[in-house]
Amino acid sequence: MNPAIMLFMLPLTIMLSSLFLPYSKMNKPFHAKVLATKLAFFSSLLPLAFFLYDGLVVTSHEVYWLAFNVCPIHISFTLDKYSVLFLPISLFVAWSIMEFTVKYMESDPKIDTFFRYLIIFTLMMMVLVTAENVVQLFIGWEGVGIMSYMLINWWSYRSTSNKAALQAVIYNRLADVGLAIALAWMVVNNLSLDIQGVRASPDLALIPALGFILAAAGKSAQFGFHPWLPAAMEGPTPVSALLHSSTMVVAGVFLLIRTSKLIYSSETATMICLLLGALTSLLAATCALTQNDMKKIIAYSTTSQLGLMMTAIGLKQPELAFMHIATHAFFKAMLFLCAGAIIHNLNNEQDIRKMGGLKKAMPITSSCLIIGALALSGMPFMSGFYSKDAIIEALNTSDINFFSLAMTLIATTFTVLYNLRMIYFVVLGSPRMPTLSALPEARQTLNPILRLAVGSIAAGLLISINMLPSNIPQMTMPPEIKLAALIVTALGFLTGAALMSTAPTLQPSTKGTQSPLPFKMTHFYFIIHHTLSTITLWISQKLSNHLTDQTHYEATGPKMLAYLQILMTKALTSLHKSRINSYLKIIALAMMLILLLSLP
Amino acid sequence: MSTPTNLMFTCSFIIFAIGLTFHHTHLLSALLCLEGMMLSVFMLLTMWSLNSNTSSFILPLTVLTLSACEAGIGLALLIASARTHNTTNLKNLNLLQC
Repeated sequence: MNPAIMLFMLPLTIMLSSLFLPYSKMNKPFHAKVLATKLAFFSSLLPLAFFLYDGLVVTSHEVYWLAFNVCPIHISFTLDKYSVLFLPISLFVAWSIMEFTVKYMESDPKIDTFFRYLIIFTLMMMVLVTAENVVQLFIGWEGVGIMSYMLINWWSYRSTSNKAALQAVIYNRLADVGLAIALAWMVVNNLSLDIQGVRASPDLALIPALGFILAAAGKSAQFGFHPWLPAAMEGPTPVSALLHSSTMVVAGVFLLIRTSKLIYSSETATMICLLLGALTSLLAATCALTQNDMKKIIAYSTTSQLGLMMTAIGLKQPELAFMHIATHAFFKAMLFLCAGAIIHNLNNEQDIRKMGGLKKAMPITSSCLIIGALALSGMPFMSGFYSKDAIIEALNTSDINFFSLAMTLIATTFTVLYNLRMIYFVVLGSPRMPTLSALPEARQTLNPILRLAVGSIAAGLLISINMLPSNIPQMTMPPEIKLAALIVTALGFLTGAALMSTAPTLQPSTKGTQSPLPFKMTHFYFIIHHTLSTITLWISQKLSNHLTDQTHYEATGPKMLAYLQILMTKALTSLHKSRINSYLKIIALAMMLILLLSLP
Repeated sequence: MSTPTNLMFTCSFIIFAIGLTFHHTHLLSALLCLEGMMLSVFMLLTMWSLNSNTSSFILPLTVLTLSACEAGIGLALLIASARTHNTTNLKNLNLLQC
């Protein structure tokens, strides 16, 4: 076996073996799991080193699994430029989150099960990322979907958790239909199922491309499939940090990156990607401006960044999308962990209107919050800048429609605005929460946050140095275009700062504190969740049940017959006298008469 | 009626039938007449199968079996109604009469 594949097997084996530890002999098994993830991270740096040294792409066909004649499917792992870079990043984030969880959920009696779920999830993600054909990717896809359901529903005695987990599963399942259609089409039309991707003619490639886009839209919470992501904040904060910010929701975008050659064969699909991404980006950023729950702000921010990644794919720049995945993982996970630490210290208070003045009480956490917010907004030369600015530059210099460009720029402005709002409410000002005894910043929760802070500052430079783009970007452009992202960000920041300084002097609103109509996402929920289901159930009851089943099948046939018979029987029953004696005698008499009369 | 045996059995059937219709007092006499009817039908069937050329003819045996079951059921009904009504007089069995 290839030594590089053996090196790859090491993180997989370490993670798998941590699930089968002897529980009965250990005091706290979850410490071993954290150690296992740490070891897996460090051992996943070895394939990365091999790749960076000489561009070694390793693929292994392990097991001849499904023997179809047209497309035999193997279980095979590949370490190409995307997976060899994603593995260390995801394992690093997972390691930090697990270390955070040790302290965050120490009072939970089922903490061992929680760690097992996290490990199974990380394994599934590794299977997804290193898959060499689309079927194995589908296995990982389903696996992360199921683990997402089980982790969101961690506190399963809450009805809102149940609803949120159901939303996640149903939206993901609806999207998997797209993946199944694409798979079937590719097999039927003799296209290869390899992950390197194939090109096809535009009309042949349209349907699988649309199928993959549908699958990615559901998994990566694009517009139309987005409600599950803010609802998924019902799960514990480590779940939100691991699944719904860095790792699972980027699986959809990752699928599109892998199959990007097929999608670019069809211009319609590329355009759909672009517009969907821009729309998601703008609408999610708009929603994030008016949220009062800290985790929901960060969730909508994740949705907005996913829209940006989808836009990058629509620009025919899959590597920029991947780089945004890589850098986004760091600062988004850090934002979630900071939010978790703040919420935990404030005795599970999640409303930002009841927080404030934490820069004196929790200085390190609020500093990391600000670092994360800056990285997210695209502060020059932090990690978010390298990917975000590159995407917006590519957007500005491409031959695309103006609508998506405008939406993305406005979304960038809103990004810095909601970040500023969150920081203003949480960190600055004076405390609006009830007085507490102490706000300890435990070392065990701080270490992972600080590690991720280092990552979110340095990762951008490190990754962009080592990843050379295969699509050469446009290098020369007028200075206004080059600085476009910075200008809109600065505009947003100035607007926010102006609002911050004049807000205390404004009159309080007399119309009520509901957010204005365009910002209300409840209309979306009402139409999609309530009205569609009600219409479907109403149609099914009236048309299928009452009309077809009960009327056409039953009432006009057998039941009508039975009803008429019973009517007649009821009318005639009163005429029976049941004198069997007399009836028998009359029969005997009649027979004797017949005999007598027939005697000639 | 080609043979006297046939005539005899037919007449016995008719007599039993008259006995079934004109019984007065006891349910047991009706059951006895029913048994007699079955017996004469069985004999007629057997005579028919002897005089004809068909080799295997299981109808007499089937009828015999069914009549035995019928007798059992009749007796069980008699005993059950006698135990609940405490009389076997037929005039008192008018529960279903309207």
